[in-house]
Amino acid sequence: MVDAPLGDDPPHGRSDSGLVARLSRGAHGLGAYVALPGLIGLIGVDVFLRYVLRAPLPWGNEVGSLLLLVAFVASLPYCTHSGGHVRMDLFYARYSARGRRRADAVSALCGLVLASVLAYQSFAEVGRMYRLGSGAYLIDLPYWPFAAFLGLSASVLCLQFLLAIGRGFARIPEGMDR
Amino acid sequence: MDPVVIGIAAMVVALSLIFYGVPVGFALGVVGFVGNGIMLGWPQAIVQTQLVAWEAGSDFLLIALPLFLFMGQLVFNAGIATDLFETVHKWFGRLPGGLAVTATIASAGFGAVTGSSVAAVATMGTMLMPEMRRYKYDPGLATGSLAAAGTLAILIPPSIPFIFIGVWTETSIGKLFVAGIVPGLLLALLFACWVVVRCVLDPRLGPRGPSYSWSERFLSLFRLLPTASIFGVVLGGIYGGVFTPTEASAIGSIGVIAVAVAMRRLTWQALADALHQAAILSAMIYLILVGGILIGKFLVQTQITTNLIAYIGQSGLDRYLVIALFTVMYLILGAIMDTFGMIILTLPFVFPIVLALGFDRIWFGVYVTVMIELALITPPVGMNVFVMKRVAPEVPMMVIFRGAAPFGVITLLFVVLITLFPEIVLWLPSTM
Repeated sequence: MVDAPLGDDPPHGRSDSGLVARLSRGAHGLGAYVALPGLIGLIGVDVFLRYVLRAPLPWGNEVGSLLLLVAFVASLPYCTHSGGHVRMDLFYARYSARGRRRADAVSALCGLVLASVLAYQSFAEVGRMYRLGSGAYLIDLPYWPFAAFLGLSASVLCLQFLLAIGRGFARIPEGMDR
Repeated sequence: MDPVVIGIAAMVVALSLIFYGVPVGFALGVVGFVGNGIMLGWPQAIVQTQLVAWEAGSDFLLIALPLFLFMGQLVFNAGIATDLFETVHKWFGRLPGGLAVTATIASAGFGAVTGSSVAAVATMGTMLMPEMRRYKYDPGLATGSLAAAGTLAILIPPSIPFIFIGVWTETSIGKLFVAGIVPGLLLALLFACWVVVRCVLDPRLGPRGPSYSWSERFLSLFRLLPTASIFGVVLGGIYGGVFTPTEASAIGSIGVIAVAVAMRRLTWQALADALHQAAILSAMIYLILVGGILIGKFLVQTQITTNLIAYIGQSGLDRYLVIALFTVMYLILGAIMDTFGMIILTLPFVFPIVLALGFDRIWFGVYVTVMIELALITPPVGMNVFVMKRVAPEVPMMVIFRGAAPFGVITLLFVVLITLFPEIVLWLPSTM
């Protein structure tokens, strides 16, 4: 961010090793270590070809935009999993453990609404894009795999939020609410 | 129900969720989605939500965001700033409060290759704080000057807030970058002058550092070449119209990798960490952007902004008074909210009003960014102060806040200055 802590994972991190956590880490790896370097390489090569060889990649912008979508969407579940989304913790920091779980559950509920809408409509778009043959104009690259990826990422988010809601309303043992 | 009432009720709900502790992106997004559902019907709201996520995520202009974040993280992880610090210290360390002056100028220089104020505080603080302890600097001046100087990094391009504001307000990011140069340098100068004046009046606050010969000083300039060349290529390319900000972000990233390799400071771990952090931060900002766009589209439906503009127009309020009120609002919001949340929550209202009052959109981008700078050192949630506390755990938080307060006052006076004399901001971009 302008301004997130550096060098560490964001606060409120969890160390789940379940399937959802593995999926979020896998998607994040794709975004961070494939899509981002791909973007740097693609734009860098395009600039070189444009200004040095006078032969830019005609499809550079379109592919760059789709890579950006992958980079953003791929890390959303991991960012959520590691508590990386910014929140105003003026009151949150003062809540008891029970209060925080409730706030986390409400947050997850909000996130679930958004993520389920995104997942539902993205999968609906997959079919529509496939039927219409929607894709990039200057290169043979269909859009539907990207819509599917958006839907999959949103689905992982839905699972994360459902787990968080479950945690939020789970009974907290006596004496652990501080 | 009256759409304006729906709009006001929705904003109350959004603010309540944010205050309760719901992440800003979720709160804005869900309220925007529900609001659009009420105003437009649910099928259209569902389609619009996906469309916003798709369009924001594949906006070519936004490529600059993860790439400049990566560049900043790599500069931080590879320790490229050491040479910058040593060179600036050789030139300015001998002044009264020389280490604090060095902090200010080096942070401005660091901002020229990162755009992250937290990175600037963490990096410069780690390098300068041990020296300041050795010279027995006043803890308030030492930590306050470092925390405040870090804020310069988001005004001096490349700047992540400028990209965010530029995309949201459909303003040229290149012009915003160029517009940040003069105000950034001027503010750095004002900070440095304040340190010198304070230390002349009370030399115990910040004694002079060691003296260096002119040959040592000039020789040190060669070590600045890598940093200066990255800044020159990125900013020169944008100013000269050679690169778009997106292209400049890729070239800057490749430049930083090349410099780190040449200086033998690039490790696989540093590279992986930079990519990891850049990806997480990008996702976080992306979600806020999507939430902000959704609620922005909903507010357009309610006509709440149009009514507000009409109300302000009819009230006959002086435009400078309106800016003063916005400044107070940003001071309050900045004290309690994250900077991106603060921007995205206010832009749908403030930006159209400011334009309607006749202010320039480039000026507005710089104005908001200066207000973000203030938010970073304002209690109780001044992010730079928290980072400074990590660097100097022995200094109480209140001492750091108090130490940064004079710089906050200078920044506020600077807001007055750029409001009365917008040419300070607009002159350089007008020459593009």
